[in-house]
Amino acid sequence: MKMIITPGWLRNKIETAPDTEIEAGIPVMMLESIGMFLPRESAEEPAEDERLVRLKHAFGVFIRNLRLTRELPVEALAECAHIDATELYAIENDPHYVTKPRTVYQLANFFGINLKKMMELSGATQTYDESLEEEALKFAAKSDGVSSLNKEEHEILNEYVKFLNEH
Amino acid sequence: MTTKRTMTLNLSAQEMAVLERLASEKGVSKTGLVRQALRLYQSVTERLDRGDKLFVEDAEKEEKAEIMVL
Amino acid sequence: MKQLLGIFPLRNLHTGEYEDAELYMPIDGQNVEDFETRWRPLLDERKANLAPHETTASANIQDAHWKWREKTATRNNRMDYASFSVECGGTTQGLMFVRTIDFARESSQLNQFLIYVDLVSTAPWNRPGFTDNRLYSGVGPLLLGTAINFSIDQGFDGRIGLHSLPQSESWYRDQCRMTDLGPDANYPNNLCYFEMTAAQAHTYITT
Repeated sequence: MKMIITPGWLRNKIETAPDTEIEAGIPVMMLESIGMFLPRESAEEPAEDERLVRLKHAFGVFIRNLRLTRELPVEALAECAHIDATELYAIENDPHYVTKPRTVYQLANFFGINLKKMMELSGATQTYDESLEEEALKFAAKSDGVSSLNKEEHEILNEYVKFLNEH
Repeated sequence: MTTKRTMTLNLSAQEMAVLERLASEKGVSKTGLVRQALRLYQSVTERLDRGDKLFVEDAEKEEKAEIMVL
Repeated sequence: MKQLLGIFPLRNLHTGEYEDAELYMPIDGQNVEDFETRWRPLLDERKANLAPHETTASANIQDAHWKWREKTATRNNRMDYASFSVECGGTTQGLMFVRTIDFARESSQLNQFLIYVDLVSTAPWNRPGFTDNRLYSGVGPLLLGTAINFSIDQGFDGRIGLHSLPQSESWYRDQCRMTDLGPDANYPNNLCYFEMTAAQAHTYITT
């Protein structure tokens, strides 16, 4: 193969546009640990028990409230986080919806939430963490579902974010 | 991949027309298209040798038909 | 037998100095050995630390591991695959598999041949997401530049395509200026598909 790229070109790239994460293709083991690469069938069809539906409902409320604190319409958040607006709508409104791992990653990244906890909350990975479930259900119960958050809801949301990131 | 050998390929006018059209559509030279065809043929043959089957699917009717590769 | 394609500088972030790295094709047994004995233990260790309670899921995940040894052995005899490695400091720093019979999806180059980057990965000690004390910088741009170079060499004008891992999307989108064609419903885990046009490739390897 005739080389066109040169040592000087690479040196310039390193100095002007440093590489960050470059991984492409599957699977990369790092992400398996947070459930990004569960076998396809189990990722798409998790056993849907009542507990999981409740957890996913809490996840939907959580995402909706995070969105409202930023005063972002569904379409705007979808654009900012590079996800599909239809999927975001489903996450917020349908507790039976199976959120795709990539979407959870994008949302966790955008809102600065612990990815592993978000994966568990969304139902993308299984959790045996009872306190996560307990806190999620408490959080969802305290949200009234209207289109803006009151002061108390803001505080509850902030506490819950703190819980997820520090737990 | 480094040492290359040259061969002459005799094609009919129709074959040459198809080669030229496909090369243009696929954004490669005529030699490049023949090389790609060979790669594809090797890839398909190897899979068939392993016992895989090759299908084409009609997107509208969702019908699948098996392709016999010789 | 592997062929030395060139010597390129990588920046050692511990010393601040540049070191000579060798770019080879294809991936050989020593690269696989490095992956098994040097990369994998670190990746497995991190995995264990990240998810202590996910034992069942982890057991299932084992099957999904990239089978480097097996893939390398079979693909090295195939013409529809090519592979590359970057070696520096006595070990493998980056690996890449590409496929040569794929078609472009971006509208301006629809159905034209491109080089599809099937897998590109750097050693864990070079990844910002893995360690705060990275060793080498430059492996990623070198491998991406190599994919473009290979595409030009094959007569594909620099066109390449790949499915990015979520944490790498911004690099491909913002740094490499590839076209983001969005999550691919037909790819496992709906990873985002990116494509580089001939013009974008030309810009990437000349600036």
